[in-house]
Amino acid sequence: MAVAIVIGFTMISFIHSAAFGVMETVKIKAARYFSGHISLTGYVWEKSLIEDPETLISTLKNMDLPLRTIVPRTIYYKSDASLFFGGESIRQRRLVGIDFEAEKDELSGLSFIDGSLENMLINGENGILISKPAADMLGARVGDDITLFITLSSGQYNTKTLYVEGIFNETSLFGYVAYMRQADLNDLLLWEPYLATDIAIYAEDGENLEALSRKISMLLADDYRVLPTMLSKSELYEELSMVDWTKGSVLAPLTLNAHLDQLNDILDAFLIVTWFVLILFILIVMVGILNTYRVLVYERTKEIGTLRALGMSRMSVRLMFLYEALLLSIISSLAGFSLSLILVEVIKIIDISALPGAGLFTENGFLKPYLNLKMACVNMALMAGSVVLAAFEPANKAARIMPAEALRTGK
Amino acid sequence: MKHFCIFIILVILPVSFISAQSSDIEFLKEVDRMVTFNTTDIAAEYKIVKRDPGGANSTTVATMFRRDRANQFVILILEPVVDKGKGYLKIGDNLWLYDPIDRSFTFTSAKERFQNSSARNSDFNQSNLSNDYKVTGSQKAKLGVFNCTILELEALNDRVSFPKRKIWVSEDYLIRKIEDYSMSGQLMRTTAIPNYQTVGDRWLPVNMVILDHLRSKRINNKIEYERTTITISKPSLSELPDTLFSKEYLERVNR
Repeated sequence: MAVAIVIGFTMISFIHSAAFGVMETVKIKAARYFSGHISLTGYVWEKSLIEDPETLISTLKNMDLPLRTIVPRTIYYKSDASLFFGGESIRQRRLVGIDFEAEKDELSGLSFIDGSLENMLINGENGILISKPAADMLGARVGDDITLFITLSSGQYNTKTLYVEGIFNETSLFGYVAYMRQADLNDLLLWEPYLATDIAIYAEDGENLEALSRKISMLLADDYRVLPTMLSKSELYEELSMVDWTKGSVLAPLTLNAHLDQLNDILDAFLIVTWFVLILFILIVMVGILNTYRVLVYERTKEIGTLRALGMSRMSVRLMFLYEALLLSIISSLAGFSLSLILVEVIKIIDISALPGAGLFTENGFLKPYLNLKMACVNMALMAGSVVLAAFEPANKAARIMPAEALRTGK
Repeated sequence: MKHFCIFIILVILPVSFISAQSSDIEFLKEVDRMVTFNTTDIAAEYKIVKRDPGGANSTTVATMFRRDRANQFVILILEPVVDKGKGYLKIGDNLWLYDPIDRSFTFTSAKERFQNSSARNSDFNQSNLSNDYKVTGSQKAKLGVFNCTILELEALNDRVSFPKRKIWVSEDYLIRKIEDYSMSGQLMRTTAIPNYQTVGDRWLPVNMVILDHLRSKRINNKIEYERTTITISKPSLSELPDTLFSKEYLERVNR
């Protein structure tokens, strides 16, 4: 019985830690790929542009809000940005111009298979960070000069020769992106170096992004035309189509959850599966406890009869079994928690990059599960409740045993 | 002496500048005129062979019908078999691509690559250099057997595929070489047109070789570019029916 609880709790804790790890990994990757936890995109006549990002950033910094980093970004939103090298070419889903000095802490999680973030900080001018799939496709290595091709808003072609300063290990959908200096991308777009398309806002850990975004919109509303915080990109596009552009530019805040709208469906499905598995484990444990306690009560009939004959009340007999079940579940859960800690450490060193789609929720091919203490306590309470509930019927049966009848039985 | 200098600055220099500019425009107009069929329609078969650097060849054969006076053309793909029936229709500034499998027309851009070759859709347009570009520099040079004028051009509008170009024009006002540059001045494409054929009183290239400088590869210590060779044959000046320059025509030929 104890073994069943230990295994059940280990599996529940492990599945939860893996699910939390997956969600956290996806969110960290997404925050790098999109512009932080909350992005503020400027629009001037439907084109992405913030004309005075510096003032906007200082306004945001002066707000007394739990914001960790506020930096400008220039993002090339068209999907025709192409990298050329050695007769090969690859399209990039997104081209991001970054102020590396200002955003270095947030980008420090980017893992490199060649080159580094420091390369961009030291020799960043005309440098570019490309993903592993892009480097593999082009056959490019750090130090190679590649040609970046884009079309300007006017439709004219423009190109720039850039040096690969780093190849980051990102194979998921967040991998079809290249990072370069904001000034270089602005130069390619024939923009002034200070212009930006987005402000990337990184919030302190654990903040409610939707509430924070609403607060930012409210505080900016005095000086800027700010759209309400949307729940998805499609909502934003719909809202943008209704904007009266003659009244000037607008700012559109979007949280990470809104950016991940489509991906959230996958993550929600993943969570549903983990909850289903969890419920299944609990049911198995409950059936096991029920059967074991039935046998236990049968085995201890004579003992119960003796205790009852000595004056023990029905309630005391019932509580005796329930306390025993509770104690058993707590001790077994703690053992299961310890075992899951070991399992989490083991899974951290297993490379699962060969699995299809693993790149989306792994860092360098490794899962990053972590045990959430709050969730472990909830699980423990859930497990204890389930065990006590399963033991209730046998405990009740034990309480109803008549002492005389019990003492007559062979057990 | 002082008055003479002022006279030169105020009168002679602007006059010579304006006359140089107008002579450049006249020169470009003459270049355009040599390859524009304003009084007749023109039809020809284009064989487009693309060779990847160090890789395989792919061939496209298409028939082109052009009516320069109305700024229209129709290109019908004959080969390869998988693309047979695809067609391009240009009416004014609008360019459509017809897909016979979906039976649908989609808008496309003159700047797009033609059937994934180094040629752009705009390469099939009539020449309109005098309206699309201004001359920013010129010099004389010899290109093989041709005595050429090299003109450096800068786009006057956003419709053109390349914002900067350099053209080599021989003494007969025919373009012998083109270098296409991006906005930043990077060489993107080189086109050589060694031979022309006379069609009526106008000229049509016999063949063109286009090198895509973005798609190059070093093979055996030698840089090889994606190379597209266009051979133009069976030119005809026969009058074409008006119905040919329509969407219905492209749908009909695929039935």
